[in-house]
Amino acid sequence: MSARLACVSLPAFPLQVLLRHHPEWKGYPAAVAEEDRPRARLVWVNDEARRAGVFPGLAYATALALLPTLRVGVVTLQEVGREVEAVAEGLYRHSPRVERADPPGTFWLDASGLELLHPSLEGWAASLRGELARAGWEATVVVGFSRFGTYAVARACRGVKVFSSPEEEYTAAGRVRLWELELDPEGVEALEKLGVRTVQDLRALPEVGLRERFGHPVAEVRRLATASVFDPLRPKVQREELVRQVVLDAPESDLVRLVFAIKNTLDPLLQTLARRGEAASAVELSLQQQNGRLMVTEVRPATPTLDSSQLADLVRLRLSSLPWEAGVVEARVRVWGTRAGPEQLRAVPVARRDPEEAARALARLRAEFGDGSVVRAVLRDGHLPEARYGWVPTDRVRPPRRLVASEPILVRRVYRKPVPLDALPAHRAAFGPEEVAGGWWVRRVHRSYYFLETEAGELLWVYYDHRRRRWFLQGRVE
Amino acid sequence: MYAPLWCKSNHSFLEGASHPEELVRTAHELGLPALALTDRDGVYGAVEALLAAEEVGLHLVVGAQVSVCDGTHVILLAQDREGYRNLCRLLTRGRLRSQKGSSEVTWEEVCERAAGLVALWGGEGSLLASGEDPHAVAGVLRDAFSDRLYLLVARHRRFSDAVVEARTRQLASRYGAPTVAGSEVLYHTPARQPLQDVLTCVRWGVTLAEAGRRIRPNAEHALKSGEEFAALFLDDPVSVRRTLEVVERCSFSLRELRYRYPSEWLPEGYTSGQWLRQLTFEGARRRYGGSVPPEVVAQLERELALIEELDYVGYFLTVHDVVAFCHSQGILCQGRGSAANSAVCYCLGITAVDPVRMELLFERFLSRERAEPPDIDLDIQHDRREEVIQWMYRKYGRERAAMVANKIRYRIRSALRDVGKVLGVPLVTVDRLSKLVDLHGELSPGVLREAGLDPEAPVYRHLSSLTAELVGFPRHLSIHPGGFLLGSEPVCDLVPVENAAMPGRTVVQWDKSDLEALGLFKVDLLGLGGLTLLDRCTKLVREHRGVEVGLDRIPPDDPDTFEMIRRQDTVGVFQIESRAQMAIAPRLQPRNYYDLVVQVAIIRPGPIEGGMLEAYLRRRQGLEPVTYPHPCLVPVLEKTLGVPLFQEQVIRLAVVAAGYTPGEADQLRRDLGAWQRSGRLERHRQRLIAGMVERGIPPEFAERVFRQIQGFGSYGFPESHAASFALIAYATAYLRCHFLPEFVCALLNAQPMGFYAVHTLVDDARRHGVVVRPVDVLRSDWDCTLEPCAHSRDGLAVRVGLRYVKGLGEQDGRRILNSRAEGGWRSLGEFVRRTGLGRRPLLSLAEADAFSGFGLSRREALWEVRALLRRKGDALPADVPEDPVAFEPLSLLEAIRWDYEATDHSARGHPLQPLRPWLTEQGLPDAQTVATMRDGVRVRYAGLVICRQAPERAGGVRFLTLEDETGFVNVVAWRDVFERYRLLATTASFLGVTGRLQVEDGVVHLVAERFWSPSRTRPARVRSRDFR
Repeated sequence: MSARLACVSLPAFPLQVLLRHHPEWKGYPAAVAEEDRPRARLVWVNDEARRAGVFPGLAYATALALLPTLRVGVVTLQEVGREVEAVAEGLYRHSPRVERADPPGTFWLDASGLELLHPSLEGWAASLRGELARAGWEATVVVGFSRFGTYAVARACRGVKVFSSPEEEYTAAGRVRLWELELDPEGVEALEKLGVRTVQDLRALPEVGLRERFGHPVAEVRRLATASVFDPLRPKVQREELVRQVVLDAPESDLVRLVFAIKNTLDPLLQTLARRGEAASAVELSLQQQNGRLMVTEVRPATPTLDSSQLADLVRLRLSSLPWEAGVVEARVRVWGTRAGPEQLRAVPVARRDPEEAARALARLRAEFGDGSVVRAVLRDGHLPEARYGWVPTDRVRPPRRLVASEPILVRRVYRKPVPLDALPAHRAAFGPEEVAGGWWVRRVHRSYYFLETEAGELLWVYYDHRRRRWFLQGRVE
Repeated sequence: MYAPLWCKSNHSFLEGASHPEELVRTAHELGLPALALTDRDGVYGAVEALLAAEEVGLHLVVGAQVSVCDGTHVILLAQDREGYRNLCRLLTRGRLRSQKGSSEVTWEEVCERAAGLVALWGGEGSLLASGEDPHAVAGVLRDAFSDRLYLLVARHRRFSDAVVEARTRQLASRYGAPTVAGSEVLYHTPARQPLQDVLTCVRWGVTLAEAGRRIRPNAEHALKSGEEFAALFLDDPVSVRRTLEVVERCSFSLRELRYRYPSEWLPEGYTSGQWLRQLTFEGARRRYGGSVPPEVVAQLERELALIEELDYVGYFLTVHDVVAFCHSQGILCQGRGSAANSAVCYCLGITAVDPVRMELLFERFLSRERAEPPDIDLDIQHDRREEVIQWMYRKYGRERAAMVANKIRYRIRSALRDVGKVLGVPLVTVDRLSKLVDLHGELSPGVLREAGLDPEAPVYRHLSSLTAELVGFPRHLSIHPGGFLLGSEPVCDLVPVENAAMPGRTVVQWDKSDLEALGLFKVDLLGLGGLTLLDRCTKLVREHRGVEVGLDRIPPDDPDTFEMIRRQDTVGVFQIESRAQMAIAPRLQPRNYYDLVVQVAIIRPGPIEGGMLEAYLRRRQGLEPVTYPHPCLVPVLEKTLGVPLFQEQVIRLAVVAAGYTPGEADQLRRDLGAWQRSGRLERHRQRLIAGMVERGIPPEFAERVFRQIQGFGSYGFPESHAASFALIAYATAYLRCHFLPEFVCALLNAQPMGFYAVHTLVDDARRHGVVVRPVDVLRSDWDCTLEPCAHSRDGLAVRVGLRYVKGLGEQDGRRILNSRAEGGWRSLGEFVRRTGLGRRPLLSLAEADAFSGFGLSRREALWEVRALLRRKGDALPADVPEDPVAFEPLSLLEAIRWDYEATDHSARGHPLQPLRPWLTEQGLPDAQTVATMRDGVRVRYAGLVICRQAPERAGGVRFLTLEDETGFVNVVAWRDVFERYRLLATTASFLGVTGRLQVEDGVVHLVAERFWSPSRTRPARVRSRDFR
């Protein structure tokens, strides 16, 4: 008995991904555009759109002008990749060997021997297709004998098809039109001009002549379509998730004991990471409390590390800042790894004073007070004083640049939030106004700024807000 | 009191936010005595400002903000003519060395050109504000400008003002230069601040959210009243007063520009006046066959006297020069527009219409009262216009010849796109809105709602108001299609010259209206496909029949030609080939040349909107009596049966019936020309209607005349212009009637031109018995040619030229012809080797069936070509024998489809020809049958859409022309029907229509009730000409 192979094809996969993200678009004409700009081309369109005269290749804006009810979205490669992985995960439940192939949405499964486990291969294929349908995917499943045969038929038909002999598969594949095979469109078009439209037409051309005129890829398709070629599956091995669970004997309210338990769980996970040549970039904790509530938090070291003490220290700081309601009964620890250099892979870093120490200190602060707690100032390009700088999170200490000044410099202290004044402070001199008026497209602002010299010799920076009709203290000059 | 000395209008492209006119008028309203217009690196807006200043009596100082190569700038104001010349030369220097849109001069160049100029140095963007050491520059400026150097203390109530001002004052005291107060004026009212912000963002290519400090921090760049300005400089009234001192020093006016035509080419012993007289009377003798009629002599004398009196002799000599060059080179040219009113132009060979015979008014062309230069536009056969342009550059040199600018102004769609982007509206939404909005309409709440947007949302309110403000703003400078400014002195002494986008072209900073307003002359050289057609056709007739049929030899009022026009058989005829023109012919029944003049002019928005078209036709058909609203109008309207059809009539009507003075009438004519500036015509409404009613003319007629004037505003024809075009129309019609194979061949070689796509021209020729043979590498030239053929009309068949093979360049064509001239090819292999053509042209030729001469079908040729291409690099290329591959032969339907894909037409047949049996089976008649059906019959018809028209003012009615192998069917779709089937009707090439037939005076229209898709069979997709 020949080895059995199944091709699972999810046609127009990016469009299916889009419609899964927008279930409310069901029944409407919809399309995937290559980019979100008017001139971008549509790359996939659904049947409703085709019926209304919108086809792939049309510009986004043109299609919209033709069909105002058209729903258009963009699907990124990452999104496609994620969904391919998700589908593949599900397929492992039906076959131990699953191979992802191009175009995305195409999978080959090893179906050999499955007829012993299932009443029939038709039943197996139908249950597989049914499960995909329940997950919201439209798929075609073809069980046959060769990669090319199953793939070609899967591209051309819908539903489930099981071939009983290689000959039957060969004949069916011969009827498939070339444009359905996702070959280079230019090549297919050139062949169509010669009247070569189906796989069978292609088989009729001399291989040498075809190779000479259309190059290797087309000749290769002919070869695959003509001969039975041995081409084993190249399945991807599922990667083990780095996660461990610890069930505590009694609800734990003591922080030190809890951290110690977590550290014990962390150690084997870090060893696995080390074997993979990776270091921990984040640790996720899911803590089940006695009252049934689940608390999830995450800590990230300054740099990827295998140092369990450092990670445990961060865990301790984070847990000490969280509001506890009850003791923890169960802890799930998940570690995210990333490729790391030899320094990071060293289990116990050499104790020495280095610039990284500051970064680690910041990581401890973040762990204790939250991710937004460590920030640095940056200059911004705005007209309002408060729009001329901002605060951004930082994980590094950046020493300030030394400013060389020939004259003494006055320092203007700007209040983060201007202070409302009941009245203009008494002053012996006023300088101004300097006007700031704009922002009309969001919220119109009009302020008249003055420097006031008070009787006490203070230099105040105030403004009159024309819209709110009152004075504010913006800052002081020191 | 003060004068603003640093004002930038919207002619500082994408910076200033007010029209020059708005700045001037506001300055006047604020009681300011003067204003200096100092656009960035140019004097683009100076003429518009001058006209407004003259109207309100404001002193306009001309200057510019000149960019210097260190990234800073200085403001220069012209004191006198010399200063203005220096400014123009300096700007020209900067512009010509820089990329289009920018300019840079050095400080040395500024100092070299200091004479007659006042320099204002300071303010934001100047060296004084940059933080760089200004002392070196300060010294040289002081030496060059002496007491004409002022340090500009500019205040805009910004945080940075104080620092810059302190530096400026320090420098002023060190160099003993006086300070002058100012602020950078970018708009006439603070309300324009948002628009200025938007323009800044467009210039930088950012959204408002990203703009940061690129946009100004406040609205302090508006024109200020004297009190506001005094308050701003309360501490320095001396600097304020000094603004007036500067104005007093600058007395130059653009009106001082005088302009002489080159006259160094006069023959010995002649003055220019004598030489013009000599040429004119020589020409008159040629035109009138030796004896010039006395009324013509009188007219010539009158014209020559006025031309001399107004000092326009040089202009006429120059235009004659151009025409003489064209004649010497065998290039067809003909004057159009009001020049056709001049007997001198007729005798000089500039125009071809005899104004005396046509009773055209010379005053429309030139008049003492108007004191405006004549405007002669020369139409030149479009395939040889470049030769004439290059000759102009050679003859006058780059210094004395430059092309006239075309200020590209924002229209609603471009404004919408730019404002939308800046406001951060999604591009797809902007695109959708720009498709929904009418070309001359506005972004109304209705349009926003139609696009599914909330008109009350702040972002869309901003979008609407800012778009409306931006419409009409100049965005950048482009080049006029053919306007040349020529001078006896360098053009750059009159106006700065800069690089155009097209390599090798230079362009002045003023457009046609600016030159006209200053009384400067220009020569317009425009390309016209109709002349190319005439030229090529007459050459073919000479070559194949030995008959001379030049413009001057065509018999007037040929009955066969007019009979052809009356039966609507005018595909390819200049100006009268469109659906609307054909439809009018049975009602107009043209029988002579003047009828053609009317026909050319009547299908225009002016006559149609004013209801004049219908009125004229009814009178023409005798369905309504010829009456005049007032006896005084008889002489004005007699020629056109009491209905005003021409621009001249409208203007004369304003004078005769509404009491317009010649000056007012002239203003009306100018306002007609400046139609894009909305509102200009509206000011005539009251005056015109009241004037007519006062003279006893019925108000409804007065109202109709005004509506027609509005129509002329968007596009109208003067009689003289129609007369010139009618000549070409008649000539092309005559050639089509008597020399159809030559006409078709010439028309195919003159493409692109005209109303129809190539396939329609070919199908029409075939219907008239002309055999059209497909392209063949063994027989075709680059252009289409004529071959003897017993089966074809007049024994001549058209052989399609290689130029029609898509993907084959002219250079490829030359290779083929050269190789063929060296001896033919025995096989395709030899052809490929010897021509050395690349992959794309070879495949294109194979697909076009151009290798059929080698005994190969298209598929066999494609198979062969692909192999030959692979073997091209072999050391010993040879025809390698291979087992033959049997390819399925193409059906006729497929063959025609291939023809369309490869050459946009088919010499084999019409795409619907193979489908006719099936169409007949379905009960669908052909176009010829439809044309014979009765009025009111319900018809189902299917044809290929060759033209879709949506005239702007047709209230949403669409006109479609469908075609089959027997002719055309004109379809009318009312708005609701069209909207219901919009997608199908706008995209389908093969379209079915069900509707009711409307037959009136031999004109057949199918009024659509529904559209449908005829079949699953796909004929060749034809290219439809779609017009809005």
